Amino acid sequence: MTTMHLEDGALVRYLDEECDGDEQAAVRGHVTGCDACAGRLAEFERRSRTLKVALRDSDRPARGARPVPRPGLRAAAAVLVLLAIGGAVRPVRAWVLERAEALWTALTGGSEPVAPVGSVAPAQTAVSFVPADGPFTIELAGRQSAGTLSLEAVPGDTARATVLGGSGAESLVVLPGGLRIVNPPASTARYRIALPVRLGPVRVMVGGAAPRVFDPGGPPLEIDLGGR
Amino acid sequence: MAAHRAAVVRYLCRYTGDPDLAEDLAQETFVRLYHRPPADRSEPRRWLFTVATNLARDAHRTARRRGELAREGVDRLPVADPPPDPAAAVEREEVGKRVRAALAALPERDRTILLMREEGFSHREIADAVGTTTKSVGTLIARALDRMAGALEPEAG
Repeated sequence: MTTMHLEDGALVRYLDEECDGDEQAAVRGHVTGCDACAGRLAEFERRSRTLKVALRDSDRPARGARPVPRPGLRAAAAVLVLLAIGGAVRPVRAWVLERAEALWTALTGGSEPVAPVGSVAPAQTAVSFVPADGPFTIELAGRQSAGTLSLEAVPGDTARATVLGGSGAESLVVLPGGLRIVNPPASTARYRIALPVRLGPVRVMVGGAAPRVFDPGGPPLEIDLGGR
Repeated sequence: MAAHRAAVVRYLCRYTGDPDLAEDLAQETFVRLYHRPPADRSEPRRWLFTVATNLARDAHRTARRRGELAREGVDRLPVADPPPDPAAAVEREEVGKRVRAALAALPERDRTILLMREEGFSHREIADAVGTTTKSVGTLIARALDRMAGALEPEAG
């Protein structure tokens, strides 16, 4: 009498609970009476478990939690990314990611839909980024109907800019040496910017007005943007 | 969405073996979500991982042509938190190295299949992502696990 063994694919489907009803019962019935297939099934189960543990144990920490990688490798990685994908400009990415987050929420039926064009519903936009060392400038298109710009220093390397009470028309664009706030004249939004304390004096330019200076080592600064 | 971003970064890190490249590719994945959202919005998570896989594959091919990144990725390390037991750390380090090297040596499709399975995708979703039939995914997983046996169970290799 010839014993027909199960295909490996059937054993893995059984292990992953991917069999249809008939196959599930057939595999279960077979492995209870076939030592070879039961052993093979146990082997797949053991290897799957070992792989899961090994992958989890060897996962690397997030970028912010790791030491700065060697410059050569970073450069190589950056070159590879640019070569591979044609490279969106990095500073723009953070801005896009914030929009992607809203889009994702809309795609998955979340409770924070993308604000439609012209919406007057209060919107909140935020972006986190790590400013490079060196001069840092915050630019606004100009004064607006009402609102304020608040600046404060925070520990760590990450800056965060938040738009509060905006119409959805405001944008935050992270630049290599600063942050651009694209604010329409009719805006009444407030902007809260938290900057790493390690930064030197930060220039704040509102339209063509004389620049103000925020010292992260000093007290918070609030600038009234209204009066347009 | 933070959980999805973390999952995409983890997946890409495992796929490429390079955490910095993984984060860049994850960002690009979400940039594409913004610029070119999926026409079929019923399975956005699968769409994300498919795009991430394609980007990783392209980057991997470029790296292989350049012959630099894969070698560095396998050798670079460390794990997130130093465990209290040094011997366990060494052991874990060795297993991690073996697994990363074994993953890097797998054909791209097999690597994608194993890593998407780890992220909890169904065989149907995996099949869609790699362009095969649902039924063949089980066979491909079995084959990939066999190929990984040496790394997972040194005595079996």
